[in-house]
Amino acid sequence: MTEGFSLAIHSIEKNFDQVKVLKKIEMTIRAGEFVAIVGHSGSGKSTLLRLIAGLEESDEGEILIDQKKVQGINPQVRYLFQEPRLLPWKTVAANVQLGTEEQDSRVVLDTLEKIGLADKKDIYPDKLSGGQKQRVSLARALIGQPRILLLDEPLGALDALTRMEMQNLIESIWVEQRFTAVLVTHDVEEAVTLADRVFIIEDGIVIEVVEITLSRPRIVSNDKTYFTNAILKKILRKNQPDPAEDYVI
Amino acid sequence: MKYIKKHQALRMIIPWLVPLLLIFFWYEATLHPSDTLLLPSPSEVVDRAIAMLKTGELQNYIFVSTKRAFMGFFIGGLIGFVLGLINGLSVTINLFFNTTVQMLRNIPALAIIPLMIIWFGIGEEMKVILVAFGVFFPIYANTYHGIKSVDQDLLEMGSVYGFSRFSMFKNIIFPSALSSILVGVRLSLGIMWLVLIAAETVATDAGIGYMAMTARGLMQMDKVVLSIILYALLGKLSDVLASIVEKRCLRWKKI
Repeated sequence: MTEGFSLAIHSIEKNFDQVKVLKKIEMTIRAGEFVAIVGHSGSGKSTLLRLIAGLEESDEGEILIDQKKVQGINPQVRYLFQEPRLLPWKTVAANVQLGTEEQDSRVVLDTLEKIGLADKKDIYPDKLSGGQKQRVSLARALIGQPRILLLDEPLGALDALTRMEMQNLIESIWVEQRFTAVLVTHDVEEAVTLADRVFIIEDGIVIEVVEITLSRPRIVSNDKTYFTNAILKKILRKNQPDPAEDYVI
Repeated sequence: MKYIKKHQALRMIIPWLVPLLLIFFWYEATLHPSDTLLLPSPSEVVDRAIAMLKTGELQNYIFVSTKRAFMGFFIGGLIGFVLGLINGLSVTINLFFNTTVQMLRNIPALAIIPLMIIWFGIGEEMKVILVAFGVFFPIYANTYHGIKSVDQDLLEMGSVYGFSRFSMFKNIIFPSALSSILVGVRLSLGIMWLVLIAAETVATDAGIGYMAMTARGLMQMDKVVLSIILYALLGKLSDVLASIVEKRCLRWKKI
């Protein structure tokens, strides 16, 4: 079993054309922790994830992965994009193979079994459904045994039922492999379902961190709704009046 | 429609119905003996073909023409492919060459025939170079375009997975450009025969074009028509070849 890496983000700033997208972001994520980052679109949450992945450079501050400064792409860090980004000219197995140097086809098959698509190994991604494609993409990310998995709204394009299945799958694999996971999402309920802690980002700063003290796996319950509503309230408070105050029952 | 979809044999036969019909009309038009002076009957053309096959003349002409066509295609295609590749991959090199290529592109291949005859005479080089010149551009342009239109998201995925430059090219850039490159190949196969026919009719000492020109001088209309049919068949054949290659290379596409 691989252990996750810790992740520390110190006063990160990032500008795009004079616009400050991130302003002095501070975050400390423990090894093996599952955190979620929620916020409005345009709040800079995806940018933060790209900085952690080394896809972009910050203007100020530093990011430490396992106490070492991030400089470019780190092979221990994998990124799950919103779109599956599979190579259409490669079979499912060959796509998963891209995630590892290991040439043993047994490893690919094991990983595909884990995500429940072993029987699809020889077909082209064209023939898969959206959820299946995203699962292959997950397998490609996991086969290299990453220490950190970054998830950039990977379930955003899926239908509600498939999304729930994927959430369960991601959680069960995380429980088993214990990598550190950072999930960016605009779906607050998804954040509450998966994360140990939820960071709320607004206008480029972390305005609140909510600890989700529910036991796993998290089924639909009043407790879950409580957390979801509490976070939603914090996100929405700046722009809108609290709907609950308008409609007193 | 369903019935046609189900039967492979029918799908093989139907495309040939129109050519058969044309041959029938041709036959009809030449039934009266006085008409055959300007338009020979199908049977005359077939007789001529058989006679020429027996002497080995026909095979020789076909061989000579095909060899020229494919040599020119190979040379022009290779240059176009390599140039398209490096121009697509490097912005600096593109800055150096693109304007020149765009200027050359506007010169019709047939316009340089006089120059080629003076430089190289009417031998093999002139025809091969002309064909190479003609096929160069479609392959260059489609290779360049194919490489330029690689999905940036896939390239980003490749860099997250730590692909080397070579593996980026092998796994992402080339396969994604391939369908566009093959469109270029198909286009240039058509141009290949077109330019060759023109070159062979203007000046030559062997090949199908030579056969047509000498026959014209002797008013052997059956031979003239035979050469036209040969070009049509050879053109169709290379197109079939291209589509087989395409199907094999692009298996992953839903066609």
